[in-house]
Amino acid sequence: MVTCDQEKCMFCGGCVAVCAKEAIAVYELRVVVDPERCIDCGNCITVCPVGAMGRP
Amino acid sequence: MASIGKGYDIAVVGGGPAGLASAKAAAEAGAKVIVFEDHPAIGTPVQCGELLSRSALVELDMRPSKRWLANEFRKVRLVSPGGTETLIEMPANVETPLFTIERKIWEKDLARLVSEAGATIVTRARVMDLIKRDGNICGVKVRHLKEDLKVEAKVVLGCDGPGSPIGRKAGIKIPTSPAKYASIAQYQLAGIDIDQDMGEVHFYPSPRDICYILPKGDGYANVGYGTLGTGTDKAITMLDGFVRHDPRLAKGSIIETNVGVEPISGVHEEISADRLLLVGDAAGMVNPLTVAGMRFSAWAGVRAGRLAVDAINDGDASKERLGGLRDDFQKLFGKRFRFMDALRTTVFGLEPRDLDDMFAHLGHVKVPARLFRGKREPVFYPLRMLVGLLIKKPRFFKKLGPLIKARRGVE
Repeated sequence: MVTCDQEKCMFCGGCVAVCAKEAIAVYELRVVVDPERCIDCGNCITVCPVGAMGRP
Repeated sequence: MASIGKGYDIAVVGGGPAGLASAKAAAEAGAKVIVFEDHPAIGTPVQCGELLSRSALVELDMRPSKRWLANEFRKVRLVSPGGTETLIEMPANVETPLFTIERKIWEKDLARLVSEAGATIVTRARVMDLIKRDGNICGVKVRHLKEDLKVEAKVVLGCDGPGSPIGRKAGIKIPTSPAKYASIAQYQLAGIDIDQDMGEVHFYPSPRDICYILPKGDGYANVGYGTLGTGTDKAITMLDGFVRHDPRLAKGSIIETNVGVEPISGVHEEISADRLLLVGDAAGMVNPLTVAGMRFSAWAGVRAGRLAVDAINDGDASKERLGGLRDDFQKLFGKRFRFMDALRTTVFGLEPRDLDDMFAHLGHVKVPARLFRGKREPVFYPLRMLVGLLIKKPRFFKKLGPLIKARRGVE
């Protein structure tokens, strides 16, 4: 499952746009990944402009 | 302050350019309209380069205002990875199509027009889901200041940006492949030493890596980097590299950081469902080369607002009826988008020395004033000049030939 480094994150929502499983939600200063839905495809890691998304 | 009522003709999800343009047009056509914006302020965070086209202002019936017009410029400088450059200059005696705005203020000004037209705008209001009755969309569930509200609406306009979560909830297929999105990082730099009459595009360090400088006047500018999601490295890392490499920029201070992801595969195959229509970035209405979106959001928003009102009045807000917006969009911009897409693919496939040769061939391009009359747009002019390059260096036949041919269909 992917996780978001909240200190790097700029909360742009790019990860939400490319998430194939609608597993990510961005609240104002918080990114939440639903572990039940995430299929670890890595789309969000690829597009994140600041490198906040990653695998632990 | 208006309270959030229960029943509306149109609920607009998202208070960016697309949502505000839609709300303005719909309210002016007599509909009862409400706009929900998740963020605490209209206009923030800035998720663009703040380059606005005059046609967007015409669509929205806005006049340039000192409050938000940042800077006009007439020159665009393109620089190859090897440092060869070309300068494209607009004539002095025409209105330059190039200007930057203070987006935060511009969008608030647009929100004022929306409010004056009679629509209600609510900030800090997150649309959580659609309300469906017997499978039909009939409103939205909204969380506003910890309170969960149900707001009924005859049509929902999804203006919620790239990836459109609301569109997906309606069952619309939205592309999710990273290859269909650009990742962008941008700094506002202050105290830099640039020509304020000149925008710049640097292909650095490779033809696939596009860095830009958009002057905002008084020694500051938006400086950004964008590429496909599958680029060389993270957008912000590439941007840092570009800023460090250019001494004019390196001496400045970063006063704001903006990042984002934008669709670059053209308008999505599907942009509507029964009683729901996507507009702007949510629908993929973004130039696949320049990633410009505001003018398309303005254009589509105005049409979507009117279309939604007509659909309600006729009692037919079906997927097909609302999807007419896509057909109209394609009729006007489809060819151009396909061309821009081809241009991006071509540039990304070039060797650094190809750009050196192209820019050396172009040199100083003065765009003639006659191109600014009528409906023709002068952006294709430099491309036409590349025809001469095919004769000088035949290897470009294969690389640019099809593109120069394709231009004829668009121009």
